[in-house]
Amino acid sequence: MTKLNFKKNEYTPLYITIIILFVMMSLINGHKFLSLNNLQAMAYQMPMIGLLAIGMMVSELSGGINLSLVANANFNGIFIYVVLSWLTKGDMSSANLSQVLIAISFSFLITMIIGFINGYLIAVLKIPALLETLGMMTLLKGLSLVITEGYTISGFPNSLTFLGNGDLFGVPMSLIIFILVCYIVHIILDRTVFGKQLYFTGANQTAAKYSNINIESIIIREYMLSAFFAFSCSLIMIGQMNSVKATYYDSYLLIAVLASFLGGVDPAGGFGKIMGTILASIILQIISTGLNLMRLDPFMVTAMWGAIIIFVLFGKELVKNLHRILNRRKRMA
Amino acid sequence: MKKQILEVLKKREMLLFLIIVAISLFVQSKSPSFLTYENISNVLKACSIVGIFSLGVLIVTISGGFDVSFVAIAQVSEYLVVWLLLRHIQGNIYIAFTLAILVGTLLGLFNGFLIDHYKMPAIIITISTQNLFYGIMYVITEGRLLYEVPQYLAPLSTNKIFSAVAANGAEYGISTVTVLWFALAIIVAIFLRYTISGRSIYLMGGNSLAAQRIGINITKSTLMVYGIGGAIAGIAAIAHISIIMTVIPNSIVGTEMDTIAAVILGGASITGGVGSVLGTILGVILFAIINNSLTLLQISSSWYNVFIGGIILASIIINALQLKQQSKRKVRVKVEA
Amino acid sequence: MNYIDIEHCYKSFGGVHALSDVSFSLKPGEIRGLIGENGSGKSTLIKILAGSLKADSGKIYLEGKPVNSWGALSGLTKGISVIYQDLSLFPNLTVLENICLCDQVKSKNFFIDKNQYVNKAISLIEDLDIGVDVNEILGELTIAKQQLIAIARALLIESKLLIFDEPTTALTREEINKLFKLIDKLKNNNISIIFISHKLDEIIEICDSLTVLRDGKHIATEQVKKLSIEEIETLMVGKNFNYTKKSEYNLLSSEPVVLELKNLTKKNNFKDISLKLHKGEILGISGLLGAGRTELASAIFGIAPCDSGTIKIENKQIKIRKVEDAVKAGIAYVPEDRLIQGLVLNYPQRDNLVAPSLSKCINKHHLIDEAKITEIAKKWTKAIGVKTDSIHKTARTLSGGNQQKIVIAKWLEMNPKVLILDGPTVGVDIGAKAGIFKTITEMVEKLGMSVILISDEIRELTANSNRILIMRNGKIAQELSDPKDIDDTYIQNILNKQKRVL
Repeated sequence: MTKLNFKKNEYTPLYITIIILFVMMSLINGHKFLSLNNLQAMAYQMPMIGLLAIGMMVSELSGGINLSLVANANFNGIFIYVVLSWLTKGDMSSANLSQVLIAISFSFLITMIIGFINGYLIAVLKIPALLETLGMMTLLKGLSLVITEGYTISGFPNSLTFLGNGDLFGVPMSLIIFILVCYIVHIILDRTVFGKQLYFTGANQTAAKYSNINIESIIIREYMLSAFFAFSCSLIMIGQMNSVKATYYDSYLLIAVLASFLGGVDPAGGFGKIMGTILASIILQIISTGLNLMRLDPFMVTAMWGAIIIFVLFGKELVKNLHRILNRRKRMA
Repeated sequence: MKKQILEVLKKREMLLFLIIVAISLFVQSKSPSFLTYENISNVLKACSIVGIFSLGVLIVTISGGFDVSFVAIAQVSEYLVVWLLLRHIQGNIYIAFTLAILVGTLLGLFNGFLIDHYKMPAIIITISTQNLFYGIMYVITEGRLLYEVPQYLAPLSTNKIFSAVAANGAEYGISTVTVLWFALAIIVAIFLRYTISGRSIYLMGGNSLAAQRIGINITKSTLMVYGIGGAIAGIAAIAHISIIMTVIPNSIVGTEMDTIAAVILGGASITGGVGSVLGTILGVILFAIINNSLTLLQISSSWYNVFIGGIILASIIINALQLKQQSKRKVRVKVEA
Repeated sequence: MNYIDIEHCYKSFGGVHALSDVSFSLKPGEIRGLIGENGSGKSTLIKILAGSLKADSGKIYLEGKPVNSWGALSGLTKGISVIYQDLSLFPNLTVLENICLCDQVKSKNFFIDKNQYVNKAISLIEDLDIGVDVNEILGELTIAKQQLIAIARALLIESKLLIFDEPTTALTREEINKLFKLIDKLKNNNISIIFISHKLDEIIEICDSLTVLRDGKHIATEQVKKLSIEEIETLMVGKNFNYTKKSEYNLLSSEPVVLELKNLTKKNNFKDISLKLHKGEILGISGLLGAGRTELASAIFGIAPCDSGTIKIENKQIKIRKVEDAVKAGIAYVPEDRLIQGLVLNYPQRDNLVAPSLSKCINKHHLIDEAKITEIAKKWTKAIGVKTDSIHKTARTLSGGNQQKIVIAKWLEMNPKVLILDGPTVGVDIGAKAGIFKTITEMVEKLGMSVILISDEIRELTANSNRILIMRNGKIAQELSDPKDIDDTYIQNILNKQKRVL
């Protein structure tokens, strides 16, 4: 019971922001914003930023960061292309379901290997995560560029693109995947021994080590979990873009850091829940869709995304100062 | 004597220098046009912009901070300065620099203020301001390119010192942009090494609490560090306009991480307190030489990122292994025989 | 004439009085011990002296003259330096820079001028017998040498008053001896010294006089010679305090051996350690810092495994390469540094309590069972008597003694055979110490554990253990198994002998 109350308090500001933004965008854009088509489009787009933000959040739980997230997703998509075109001898669109599944399994494997390497270097060799993943990002992006020679590669079979652009009874597949992945990860983070130990490790690595927690293994598994989000992203991305490229969604990398921060993740580690990050992703998506409908420049969206953190800071200070003034008045009276 | 040589080799600058020499000799053996004055001056010119940026990044990194907004700051300065010079101010190159430095400093101070006042992680703040600056600029300018740039900005990149004439009649030599880079590097090196404000940046990055305790005003220092970072981004902006003579809103966006990587490779510590101008210059040059070598050896430029990523990973892994060895050898208790 | 006088000083934080009506004066060349329990106002007083805090009211006189503005950093400009516990130096810079930058920052020049300091720095380094080159990077020196550099820095700006904040915590006895000699020398140069330490024997050893603070109030200022340790403790706690001696000194040698070490060795840490721990025994290990006690404990617990030698638990030989091995074998360790190694201060007490035993808090689907966590946490807080209004509050909100109990309690669900306690009462108020030992003794009786108790407070060990091992330079130097031997003065003599040997 107490737990429920706690949760309510924690995310109230985010819920309020969502409601305010939603009402504001509805008032400005009218039925355009509230139309079924638009809501569907939002549900279709949100999973990308959501998955990246949660992948980032997972890596931040131990006080790290995963800059290789987007590069990893792109590399993964390109790897699927490599395997598929090898299996089908160059004609990807003719691939049957089993070939698609084989390609997906291989790419899953390679993502886990990348996640393992990240985690190993960070946990065992104690390399700062920022540096390690910066290097990994550059390396993966380089490999993607070498494989694709910088071109956009399309022609994926429908059975694969369905995951990104299809829908089930009107609900976008991407949203279904998103909800599914979020649920699984929620269970992993909040209901398993590993999850609890991960939070503990993030809050204080030394204390964790002295409390029977194998921090090396925890951090390695953490980065593998983070890489899992790169994998999920790549599946959705192939469908939504109908192609792969070395540099898709590059600008989303740092936005993912912002989103997780907005969702209450402490970059120093140990604090942050999946729900907060999901809410923050919804906020970013409402801003993006709303501004797009107003026919504003897409870069206005970028500016607003950057500005929202600063608004939050200003807002917090304002509220604090108001409290102080009110309290002083009360005391005087 | 042997120990001394080992000590020197352990220094990051020396290591980078040796790697650069090794790569140069290798490329030279395959492609004789590499170690020519013409090629080298071109390589230096090509990396001058990143070189200038890296000096600002270096200062911020030494202070224990982090900045990804510097490219956005430069981009905003480019637009604002060219617009002012075309419409409102009769200018020359000095006025252009002054304006750019002014704009850069102001935006940098805004970063510094947010980081210091709200005690927020620098990475979060600068990601936000990067988007904010860049987004607002794009919205206001609607992403238009400015082809019309004051002509007096051109000589900065076309003028050369020690120029010579190539066989085909083209003139080549060290570009003044490169001179600007090195001059700025010397100023930054002197600032960091010989002034109290410069040293206090190392103090702040090394141990912020201790710095406070000996009388360093952290707020002032933070503002100074990000202000200088912004100012240098402003200088880079003018140099950049001079080279391409157009203002393209997204021409340098996305190079932030490369610059940061060069600074780190140059020996600066991401946790602050350590870093040198020489190392940073060598880091930038190493990246530029790799890029150039790929062209000369006719390898697809796609490989550039692979090499860079490989080098970054290799260098940090070697570093980490060294540290591990050191801590293993540490004597904790003097055990009697 | 006194060097410094503080009269009727008040300071409060948000309504809480940190200092109330404290007066304090110090003669030139006087060594004053400043003692008091946690939260007694020691650090507030130091901060006011150093100038990083401003007193709410009160007067300060320096050499008889009233000082008006006592704002930020005025301490430094007026000749008062603090040697902080964390030293507050710059590990990334050279020795020379560390020594001179303080003076340079003060000077407000634009350019730095290090050369004028080289000779001064070299002569200071010689004077203090540090034995380093001015161009060495500070971070590569030992802590003791770094501390001397911090002193050199203070002497360079011609400080008249040096405040040492817990200067001995990270030093070996050899290094402490050297420091004390140096402090004597400073005293002869008419420099006043305030010495803060929780080790009362050190206070008695080095100080001329001492000031006791309690709850932000000045309790007493006395000549050290006139007081005994017991009297000082009484002044600090405000009531009589005595250890109750453990009545039974039976050796338990007939009980089975739980833990046996044979020739345990780790390079640069310890060598040839052999010992046997019986069931239900409390084995004390003492020895000065740098004797290898903590290193031995971390090897048994798998934090930093040993190089060679054998470890047997209940006659079964086991290999301990990591913490999990040790825990599986039934070994638990309560580490030295409670705040960093023991607890996640920002997490609820409940979560801290189940950290090692999380794998037991699962339901039949192998998912975490929150109710079970609460149940386990409640069970042990009750069993061990942690005073808390809610286990859902963070560990930070507890007092030192109760925090320590949480660190002990979190191991009990694992039902350990051997519990290693490393300095369990460091930083715990004297009043709370007895409570912790009572808990330990109870747990030994109730749960049939064996305990290795590491401490540098001899009286604590004699009162609470069945047998004591003294470690010196990485080896076991002496075993005191005959109860008659274990007597405070006897052990103090051994330690004193050790001091002299060094």
